[in-house]
Amino acid sequence: MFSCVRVLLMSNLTDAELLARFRAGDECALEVLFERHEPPLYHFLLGMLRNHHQAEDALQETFIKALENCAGVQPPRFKSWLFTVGYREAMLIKRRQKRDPQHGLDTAGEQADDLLGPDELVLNGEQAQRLRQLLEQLPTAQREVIRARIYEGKRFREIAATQGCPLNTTLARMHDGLKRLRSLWEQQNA
Amino acid sequence: MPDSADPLVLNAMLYASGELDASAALAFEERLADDQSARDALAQAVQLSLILSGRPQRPDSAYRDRVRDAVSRVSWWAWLCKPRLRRGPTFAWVGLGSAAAVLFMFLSEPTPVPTFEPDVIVAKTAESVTPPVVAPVEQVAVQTEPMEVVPETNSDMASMWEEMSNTDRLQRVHDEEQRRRQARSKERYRPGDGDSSSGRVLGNSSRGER
Repeated sequence: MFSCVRVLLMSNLTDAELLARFRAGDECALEVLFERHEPPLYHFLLGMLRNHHQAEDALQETFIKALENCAGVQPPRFKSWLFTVGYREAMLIKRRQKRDPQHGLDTAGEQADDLLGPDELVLNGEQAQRLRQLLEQLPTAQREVIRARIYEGKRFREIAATQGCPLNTTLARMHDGLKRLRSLWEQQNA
Repeated sequence: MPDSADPLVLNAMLYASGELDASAALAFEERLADDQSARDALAQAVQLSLILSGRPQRPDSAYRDRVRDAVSRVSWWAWLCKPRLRRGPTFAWVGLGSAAAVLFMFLSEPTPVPTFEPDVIVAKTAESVTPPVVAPVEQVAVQTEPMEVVPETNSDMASMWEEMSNTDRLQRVHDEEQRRRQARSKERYRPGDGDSSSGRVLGNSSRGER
């Protein structure tokens, strides 16, 4: 298996250097490229497809196609190249799904994920309790938006209408609240 | 990372939550095609939202093995096809391949089936049928006439040959040759009757009668 030490040592290398090593047959370089580009690419694909299984499939295909055809890509543009390949892959899946609504879905009842809502099947009771506690530490405006969106299932436009503020203000509160919540969560887990 | 005040991030949040109307969603998707800042904004919006969903922040790492397998499987083909900085060897290989293809074409070309022009055949058969001893010119001409169909002119004969396939032509030439051999052997056995019998043996007695 890959040496963690080598991966750590190589994590300071640029994409250009890693690509050169990968082309020379160094699989450790590929591991570092995965570590570096996988999270944003996966989140991007998840945002486009709104389905975890499809996003994982698209991620796999994206890396395969991008690495197979990376010979002509300028190393500084490798990230952009990855996202371009990922975008095409996601659009391909979306078009297939439009033609055949069951395509890529394991079960007939599987629907698109609600990315901004809690998954009760995944989130266990302890985690849910911790999130509620962290939520209390947020400013009231942010907390109210998050509560309305997550626990009451309201749409952003409805929340904006209820709170009597512009849609963008509601979205900004949601964004800042989530950012703060994430930071608190990571501090606790650290 | 984009700032929260950036409308792009807010738009990305709406897109990720499926709350953009169809035309706005389409416009945002078009922007995602080549705008890296929009892509980053979407990735950020999703990353933030995952904390609330409780779902894993990262995909199952098993896909990495599948990627590694796929990439190593095609590597020899990629090596063959990949563009190289030094063009020399590539051109050399292309030239060598072209030369091999041309050579193969020459070697594998089928042996051409001989096509005989009627006039040539007449001349050849006349030569072959002409006895070593001096024979009358009329007799030789009679001997070369085809057996079944008697063309009136050379152009008729040419058109008739034109309509026949190569196999038929060969068969016909072969049959005629057989007949000639038979006629010659009969002449040898009956040297005294050579003048009158050769025409009959070849089946052209009708012409002689005419």
